[in-house]
Amino acid sequence: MSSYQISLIQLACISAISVAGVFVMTSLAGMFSLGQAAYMSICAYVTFCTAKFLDIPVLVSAILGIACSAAVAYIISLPTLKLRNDYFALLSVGFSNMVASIVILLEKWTNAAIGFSRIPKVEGLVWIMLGVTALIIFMVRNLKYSRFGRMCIALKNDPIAARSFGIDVYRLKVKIYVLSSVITAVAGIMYGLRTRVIMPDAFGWSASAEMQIFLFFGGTNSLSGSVISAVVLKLLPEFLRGITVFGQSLQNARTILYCILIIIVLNFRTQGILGEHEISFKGIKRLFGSRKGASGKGNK
Amino acid sequence: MSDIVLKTDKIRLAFGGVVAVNDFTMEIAKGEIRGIIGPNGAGKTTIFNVLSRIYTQDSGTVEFLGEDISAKDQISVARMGMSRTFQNTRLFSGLSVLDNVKVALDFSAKYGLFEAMLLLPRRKKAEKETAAKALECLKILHLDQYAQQRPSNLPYGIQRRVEIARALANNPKVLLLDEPAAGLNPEEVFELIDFIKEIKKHFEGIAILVIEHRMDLIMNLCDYIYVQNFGMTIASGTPESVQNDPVVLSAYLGEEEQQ
Ligand SMILES: Nc1ncnc2c1ncn2[C@@H]1O[C@H](COP(=O)(O)OP(=O)(O)O)[C@@H](O)[C@H]1O
Ligand SMILES: [Mg+2]
Repeated sequence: MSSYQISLIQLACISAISVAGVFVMTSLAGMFSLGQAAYMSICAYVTFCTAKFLDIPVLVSAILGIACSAAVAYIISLPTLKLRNDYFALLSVGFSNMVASIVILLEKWTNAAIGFSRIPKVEGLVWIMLGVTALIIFMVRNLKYSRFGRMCIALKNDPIAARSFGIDVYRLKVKIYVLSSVITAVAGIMYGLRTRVIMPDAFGWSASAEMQIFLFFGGTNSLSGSVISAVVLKLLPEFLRGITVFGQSLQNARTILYCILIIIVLNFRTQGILGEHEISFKGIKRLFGSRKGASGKGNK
Repeated sequence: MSDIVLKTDKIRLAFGGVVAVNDFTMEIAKGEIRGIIGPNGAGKTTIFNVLSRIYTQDSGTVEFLGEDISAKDQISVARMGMSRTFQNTRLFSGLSVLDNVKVALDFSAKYGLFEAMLLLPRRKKAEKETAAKALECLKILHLDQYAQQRPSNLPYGIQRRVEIARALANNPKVLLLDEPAAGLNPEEVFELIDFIKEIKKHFEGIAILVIEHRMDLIMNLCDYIYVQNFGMTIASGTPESVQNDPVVLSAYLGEEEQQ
């Protein structure tokens, strides 16, 4: 494989991890946020700055980064998750801007907008990324089909009814929000290791919005759908690199492209391409195994 | 030792100028079925909302299992064993019928977030137990054939029953049914009466409090009835005595005949 291809696989992994994180909060528990990329930022900066300035291995500082992201997520969630979902979504944008400003304020360590580039090189990174991605997707899938998945869907559908079945809606939301943020934070580490330079701009509002677009495109309630769409849509601009329109590479028009795609999909399939169906090995086996009237939808 | 499971003493709740519940006093013992009837807007649903702690009363007390629950929240009384259904069914549309019943058991299942994500043994064991219990509950109520369906694909009468099954899954001490016959056709109403009688048989000692708008259901079912009008109890007693009470006839049955 060429290094370009390897770099594309890494890009796909990062996108898949971050969308798996957003899946947990938005698809399962119905919390819509436009600030999740901020956790990529927090985790990446803590991980790589402490690795550099405290002179510790990245593997150790990564744990520190994840712990910091979890702590921030917990503190942020306590007041904001008491609010209605729409206020929560608004606040998430503010939060993400706040994180970006803090990174700039701490210029002495973060190198502000110029970017922090003292990130060590890791050998065999692509394998680590593939492993982490697979593990995270496996864990999120298990979560979906556990009591937590059910309770989340219940609270998303009807919080009052959920409470009347003993579900502590607020505490569950806090838990899920922290978990979701930690998963997205892991994507931040991966991002840093891949590009070896991190800048606050990379984790702004548009990066968060991109995750939501991927999620809604693939299927609002389908983990496999959103992960596949996270990979495909993330890589799509790379394949458009060679195509030029009006002397501009079409890659630069990717935001426009995403917007058009999302408008089309949401108009014709409000639930995203896969809706709530999951692609599973069982479903695929059924599709190829017994063709006699077997439906290949593979839901659940 | 009395068998009283749920008891209110002069509960009162006003929304602005509207006194939705005015000094409502009642009690219900183990194994009893009691009814609350009254025209629309009489404050029946509000009584349920106070009992299940969605609202807090302005004055008066609510006692559940001998404990004052005035300071408790919706979640803890649910966990103590008070279950309810809603006037407009509130099944979780994103879950199958079976999962709707499972979710009523989920708060108490014994495995944590990481055990769930890593498929650890405790999760497997607890999931098995939950599934068995939920399926058993559906079987008793003859609903197991719908287990894999989404609630929205079922006839309204079945949805009502699934909602009741979900409320029963956790073996509650008290079951509150808010207008279980609303929106059902006459045939479905008869089936529902049998259904509730069957619940009484299978869930020993359960106390059922049922709100109804229609007389036929409640007369057939209840041991004791409270008649509400504009937040006040205008009569209470056995179905026979209430049926012949002139105050009730003018306030409630009169209205019914005019419809
Ligand atoms: N959340 C609320 N806010 C304001 N008024 C309410 C609220 N809930 C109920 N009410 C009022 O309380 C009265 C009783 O309502 P309700 O308990 O729903 O009656 P019922 O169930 O007997 O038909 C009605 O006048 C209704 O408008
Ligand atoms: Mg009502």
